[in-house]
Amino acid sequence: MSAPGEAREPGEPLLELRGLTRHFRLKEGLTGQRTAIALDGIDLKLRRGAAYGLVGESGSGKTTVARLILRLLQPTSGQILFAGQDITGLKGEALMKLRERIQIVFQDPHASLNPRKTILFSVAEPLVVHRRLKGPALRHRVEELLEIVGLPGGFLFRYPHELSGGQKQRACIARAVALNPELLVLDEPTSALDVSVQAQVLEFLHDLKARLDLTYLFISHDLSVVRYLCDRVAVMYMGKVVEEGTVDAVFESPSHPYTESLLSAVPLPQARQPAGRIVLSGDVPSATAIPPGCPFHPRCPRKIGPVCETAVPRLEPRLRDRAVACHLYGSET
Amino acid sequence: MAGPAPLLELRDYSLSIDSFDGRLQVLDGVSFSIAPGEVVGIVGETGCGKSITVKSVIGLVPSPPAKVESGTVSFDGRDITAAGESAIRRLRGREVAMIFQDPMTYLNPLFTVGQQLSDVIRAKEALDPAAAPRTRAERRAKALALLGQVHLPDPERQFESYPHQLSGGMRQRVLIAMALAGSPRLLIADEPTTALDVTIQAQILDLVKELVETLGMAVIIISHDLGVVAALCRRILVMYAGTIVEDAGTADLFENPRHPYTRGLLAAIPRLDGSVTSLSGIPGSIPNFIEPPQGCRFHPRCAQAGARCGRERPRNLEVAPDHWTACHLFDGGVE
Repeated sequence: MSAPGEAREPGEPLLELRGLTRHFRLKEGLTGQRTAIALDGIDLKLRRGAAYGLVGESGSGKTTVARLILRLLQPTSGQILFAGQDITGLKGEALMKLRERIQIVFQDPHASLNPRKTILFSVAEPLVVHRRLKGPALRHRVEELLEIVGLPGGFLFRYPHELSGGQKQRACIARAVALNPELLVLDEPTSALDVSVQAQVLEFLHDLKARLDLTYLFISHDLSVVRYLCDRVAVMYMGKVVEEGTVDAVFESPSHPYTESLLSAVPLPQARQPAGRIVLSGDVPSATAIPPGCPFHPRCPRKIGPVCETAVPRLEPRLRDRAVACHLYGSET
Repeated sequence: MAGPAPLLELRDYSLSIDSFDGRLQVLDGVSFSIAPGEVVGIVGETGCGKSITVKSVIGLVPSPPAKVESGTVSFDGRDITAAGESAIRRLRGREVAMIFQDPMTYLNPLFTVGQQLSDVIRAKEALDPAAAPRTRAERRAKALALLGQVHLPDPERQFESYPHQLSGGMRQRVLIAMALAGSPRLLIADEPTTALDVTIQAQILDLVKELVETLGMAVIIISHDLGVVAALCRRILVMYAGTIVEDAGTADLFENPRHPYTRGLLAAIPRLDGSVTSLSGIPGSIPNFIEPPQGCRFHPRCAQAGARCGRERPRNLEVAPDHWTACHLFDGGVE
């Protein structure tokens, strides 16, 4: 697969987000309005061939990032660069072309497949829309795709209700890779699956990436899954990236107090739980009332003082392999 | 299996449910017991029967379509297998309480937390003829005490709140407060933290742990997350397709899993510390419950299955002290 007319310098990121921000206006009462800040000026770079994890709890903005990249939503401000090209304002034909190169797999495979259409129809749809394939060529390509995702020919004329959850998710992945995309956005693709099926899908995603030369943006609330599949990770809290770096660095020695408590909160499937678990108090604040300063300061166990309540920490490089947005490290940068 | 005088005991309990397609053999010979004050986890994947087991025990599965095919259930030494509706209601109200996965579904959106909690307190009073009925103010005081016990922030204000004004974690705390209203001896928690974020889950797990220590009630935690049960329970039951395949102490189960299904399940979990670099799923999918596999229900997916597994139902054997498993591998071989 080759990107038409694009230079492939190894140094150039495939996807770059610059100050990406998205607000949602919410109605309150009859005339009132509130603004929810779903995403607040995030910067990210995805190297070609990366498996990039985006983690955070509900409301942290991870799915908003996915929808903005797919251009299913318009950003309030900021830029999205794909292979060096600003795609923030693409329209019409150009946007159609872009969608061949960026595809998405959603969390609930059942909701993403039309219950009245066969698997052949669903997987063929992007090929019909974008490539105008038909007849034997179309059927041949769908068979090939189903083969890649491990669904043999017998599945062509089945309906979604005849498939298990794992099989449906494989069909959705087949549809997503039908146009040979460069970037695959996976929004909680295994969250609806049982653990034994999740294991099969994760193994398969791991192999698929190498086989089809894909780049993954993998969104998940499940930290163990990100650790398994990804090589870099960004941790989000209230619409901001609080820590970013290689998976090994971030998971083994988290720098941001939020990352630290998030990792420590995961109960482990093993004989003994580690001592000294950090349990955060309170709830995640509402996106319509984000605390001033560092958004994490009301829950932070390592708050250093008034600076946390007034100044927004910037995401600054720290050590060799990460960037952190926290005043704890202010003096080092 | 447990010490003397179990609080809840199931013996060879089998349940079927009539459906449009035929009779589903949902539970097949389930036996376990829970001692007073014991915290036990039941784990398994979707459709393994973990929820239906406890729900049918406390009469939450309507019959028909459900039918007890064999076995007995006893609570505190009393046989409740065929107990009538009023006896089961008394049991549910005073001795057993249950909390569920999605707290919003179990709260009425049109009434305040205080009204709903007071109603529960009044209903529990009605079941206890010895207790003098409380006044409204006394009920309010009791409700506030319960909300305090589950560490709901600012209970006075939340008493007047509607469920939609609370976060998911706070709603689950309210549900736990309702469950505690009758001072139950057994609390059943069905996926209590599955709908919650991981930092909120940690808070609820801490709360359950604290309540177990202070109130001494027995708890059954049902979860698909082996981490959650490992964090809370002393003993874990592993279910597969309506049967209990393994029953062991938590440490023993993780260090020495015996049943091929348990081993497969553990090998399928990605680890936070990155110690697992290759995951193996379990091939195949859960069986059809109308005609479940003969012999061991796991044998069609089991890599170690032999001829005997498709023929003969494995016995539940104690393979190590207090470690039980139902597999022919530990009972004379699979051939």
